[in-house]
Amino acid sequence: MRIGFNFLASGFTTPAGQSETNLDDFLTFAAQYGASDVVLQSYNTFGAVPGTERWEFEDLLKLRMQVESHGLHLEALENVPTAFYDHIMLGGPKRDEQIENMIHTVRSIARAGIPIFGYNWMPSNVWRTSFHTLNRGGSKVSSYDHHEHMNAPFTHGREFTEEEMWCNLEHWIKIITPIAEEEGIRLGVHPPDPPVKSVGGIPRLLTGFEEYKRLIEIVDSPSNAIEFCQGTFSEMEDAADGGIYDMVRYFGERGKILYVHFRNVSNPGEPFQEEFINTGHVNMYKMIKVYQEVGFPGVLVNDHVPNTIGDSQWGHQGRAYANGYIQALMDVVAEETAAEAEAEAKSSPDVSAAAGSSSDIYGPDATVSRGIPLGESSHEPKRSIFAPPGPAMIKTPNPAMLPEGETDAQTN
Amino acid sequence: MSMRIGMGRNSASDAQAMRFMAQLGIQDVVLNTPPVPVKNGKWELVDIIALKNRVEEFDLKLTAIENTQIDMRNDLITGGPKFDEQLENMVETIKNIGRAGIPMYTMSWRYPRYYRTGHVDIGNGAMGTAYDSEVEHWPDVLDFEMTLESAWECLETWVRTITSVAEEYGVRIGLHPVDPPMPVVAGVPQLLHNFEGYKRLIEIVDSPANGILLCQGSFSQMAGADKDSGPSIYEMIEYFVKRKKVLYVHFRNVSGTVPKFHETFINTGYVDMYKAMRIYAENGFDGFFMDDHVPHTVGDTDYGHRAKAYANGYIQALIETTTNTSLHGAH
Amino acid sequence: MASDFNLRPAIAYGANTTDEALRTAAQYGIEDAVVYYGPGAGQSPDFQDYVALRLRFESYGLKIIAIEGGFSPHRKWHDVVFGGPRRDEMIEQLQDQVRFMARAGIPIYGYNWMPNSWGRANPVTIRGGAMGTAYQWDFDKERRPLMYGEPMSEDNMWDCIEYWIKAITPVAEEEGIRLGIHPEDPPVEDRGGVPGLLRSFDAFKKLMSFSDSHYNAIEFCQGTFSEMPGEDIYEMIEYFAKRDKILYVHFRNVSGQAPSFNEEFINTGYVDMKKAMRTYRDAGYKGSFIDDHCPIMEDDADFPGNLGGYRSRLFAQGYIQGVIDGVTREGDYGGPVSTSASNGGTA
Repeated sequence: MRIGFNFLASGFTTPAGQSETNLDDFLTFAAQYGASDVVLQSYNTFGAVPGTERWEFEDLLKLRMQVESHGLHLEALENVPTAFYDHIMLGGPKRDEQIENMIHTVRSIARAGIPIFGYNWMPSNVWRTSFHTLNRGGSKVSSYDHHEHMNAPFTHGREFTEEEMWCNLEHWIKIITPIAEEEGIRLGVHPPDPPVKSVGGIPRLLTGFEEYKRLIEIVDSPSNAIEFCQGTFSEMEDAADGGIYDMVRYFGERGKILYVHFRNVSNPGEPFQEEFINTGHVNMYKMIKVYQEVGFPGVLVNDHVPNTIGDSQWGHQGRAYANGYIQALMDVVAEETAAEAEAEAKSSPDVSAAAGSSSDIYGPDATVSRGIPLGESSHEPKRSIFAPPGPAMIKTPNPAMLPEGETDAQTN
Repeated sequence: MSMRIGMGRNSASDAQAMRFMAQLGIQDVVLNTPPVPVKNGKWELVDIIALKNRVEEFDLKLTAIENTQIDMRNDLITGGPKFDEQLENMVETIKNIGRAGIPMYTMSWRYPRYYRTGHVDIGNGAMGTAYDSEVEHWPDVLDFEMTLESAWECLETWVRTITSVAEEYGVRIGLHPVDPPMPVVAGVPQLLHNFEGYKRLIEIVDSPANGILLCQGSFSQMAGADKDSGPSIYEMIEYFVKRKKVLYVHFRNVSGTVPKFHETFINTGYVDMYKAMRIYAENGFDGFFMDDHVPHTVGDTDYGHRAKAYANGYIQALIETTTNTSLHGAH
Repeated sequence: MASDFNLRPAIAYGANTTDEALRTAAQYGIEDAVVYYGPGAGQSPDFQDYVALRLRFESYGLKIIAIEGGFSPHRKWHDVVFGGPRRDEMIEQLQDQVRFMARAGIPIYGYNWMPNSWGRANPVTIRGGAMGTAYQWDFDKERRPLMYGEPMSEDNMWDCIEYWIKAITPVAEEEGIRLGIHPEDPPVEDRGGVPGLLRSFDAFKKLMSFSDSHYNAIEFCQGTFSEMPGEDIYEMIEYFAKRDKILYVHFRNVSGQAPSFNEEFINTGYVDMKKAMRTYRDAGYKGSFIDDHCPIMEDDADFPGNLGGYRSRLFAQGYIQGVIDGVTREGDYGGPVSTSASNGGTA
């Protein structure tokens, strides 16, 4: 397991239009706070990467190089502008054209050496009813109360049915998954936030446990996976009564968790409000242990945080706090795992020890960049398909390889 | 004859404070214990005139001085060793106030001082001062014994001496009650804590110069003021206004009476301020009203500019509406 | 009973107001708010924005009684005001806005019809060194260029506003939100070649005649109505209040009528505010009064999104509450106190 930050690739500009933090400064921030990985966001808007219909290889490679120049690893890109794929989601007239463009975009991301592409399936994006809900000590959080949105006007002109929305999703997954697999990139769908059945005439689809099972069964492939926003999963009604741990276990065991948005909320179902990382209904310590248990070796990033006094609009201090908390949990769980392994090794001397000799996940014994030492505990994590991209997956920039339909992928 | 709007401040030296009052249209300025130099135990005419001129620089009228420094008068109330000296000095001071053309001198007839035992949240973080006799543990402050008789002797001597002087020099004297209005505070008997005390006061000498600073806030804190049998605050107002004894009014509101109360916004206390205002108007009151203590609200200064602006606006509206007149002659 | 009259103070806020400003209203017991928001020069708010706004105010015990915002000053919308090729498209967008507000639980949308925006010249010094905004038509006439190179036709503008009212009122009715237009401020014949349509009593009668609907009403800026040359403010209040056309009131005062006036403290203008309040009361108006513009007082912290700082605003608020209390209570006593010895109060 590794720790990372989630940044807007174009830097953060306040709603009033002031540039608050550029990407370089974000990357410096991440490195200073001990992150190993970065996820780059576009929030479904234009501007993160050039292009009004699709993204190009050189631009994405530049991004990756910029991240690596700070000694960090670009683990995933998250989201493209909604206008790239709204017809795919809604079955509109430009669907096929958008599918072609999205294929191009996915290939470009893959060839730029970025191993994961996460995206959502929300034509009308994230909904909240308030951004000024008061939390501890007067801090502010966002919240959702569906009652206030029951009369929302149609966002796309009419009421859409669940059948047609599932149809559109399946059509897409069946097309893109083999291509992604071939390109060696893993794709994951973020749950709709909030995960209510429908709002503004659009069914939200991936709102629960069964729905996600259905998604991953459309095509059984490592490239048809989940961008695991734990925050949103814990807003689901299915998260109640320990359900959140069950879902992580289920999908984690099947290797479907690409990376995690590690945030907490007040309660499953709605109305809900966002919480500090350790004041929500999910036991985050227990959560880390579940990830450990299923051998998740990917990246955890902090996500929305409460707005506290003196903080920037992006939330530097809130996110640094959350990041510190996650690191502490990971250290503790690593220590415990190492101690357990040592205890077991002592009680059965034939098993070669050396287990957890480094409980410090950043220590010199770490065999994966800043991750837990692998292969040294008696518990064998299922991680072979999660290995970070080795040199073979990083393509040298060769323009001759760019045209669509190129099948010579040079993977190992 | 008309009812007017006033406001108080503890000094005239802050130009911004004076302009604040000018902008709100204050017609009568009261200065509480302004820092006039005490020379040989008295205030000199030249210093009082300087003070008055300062106020007039802002097109304001200095109508009343409310209290000189405490050590010019504390023995008058307690009968302490400096009683005679202070009496003489106060006589001179009053003469100078009169010579300077300031029509009113008011004083708090209480010792040691105004006090509260705490604060309460009166809603959404606004804070009002509070008094709770159970919490109060004020030790005796005097090192000699003071009886009720001796206390009255002091007050009577004061009134008999000062009233004719004040009359001659064109000054009206008005006494403010003890706040909180308890019969004994810190071992000192407090005479002006109820209706009976005030009735007796104005009977000592029947003169317009022997008057009352009707702190309506303190009066409404008096035991029984919230009951018709009290007498009620309304009855007390009527009684003294009818007899033309009221110089001016501290127009503020409270939650209830002693032994436990807290201050409120002008329109959220137990007193019906509109009803009260009508009583002044109906009985020919020709003095002024000022906002007094106000709650502390978010972002406000210690002086309470915002809360005072609110209270003062409210009072101006009540005066104008009750009497159907315009304070500032605009219409 | 005083509460039967249901006359209430309200404060006007900019949409991006601060917590301190909201908490202030809560502390002073003010429960109604008007918020400057709505379609403007840039991107228009969407449904979620209106919901989030309403909920934010509610967390301070404030009910948004109206969104107030003029789209007409922005060239973007001028096809609606003067007639133009994109008029119907613009009207559709505005209908959507009205729909969003209504669904978000906003009961009133107040706007203006002033392509030339609100007009003021240099402020003047009023009592004690405070400052009030001012207007002099001569000053303005000499300086303001023609907006569109030539004078615009008043008849055409009337046709366009009628078209608009007939297009928007059915939507308002269907969604259950009342709409009202603010008068032309200052109420002069024209500025920059653009006629000021809604500058008189008759103009508003004409506006109301376009649709009888409960949802076609008036954003009653008493301040501006009292600037209208030759009109009687009390008569206008009574006329429209009796017909239930007053959505809410901008309760501010001025020195006199156009073409030359300045703003004043609430009780130093030429309008007898208690007489005005009695007029609303007797005509059956049940609603809110906002402080609107307040004079600039010295050393006063800015009240975000509005003209006039905290102290100035709270003075007006105290006055408004006092006048409401006085005027609604005096019925219990048969009227104000008549002191024969008093020096002739004006009625």
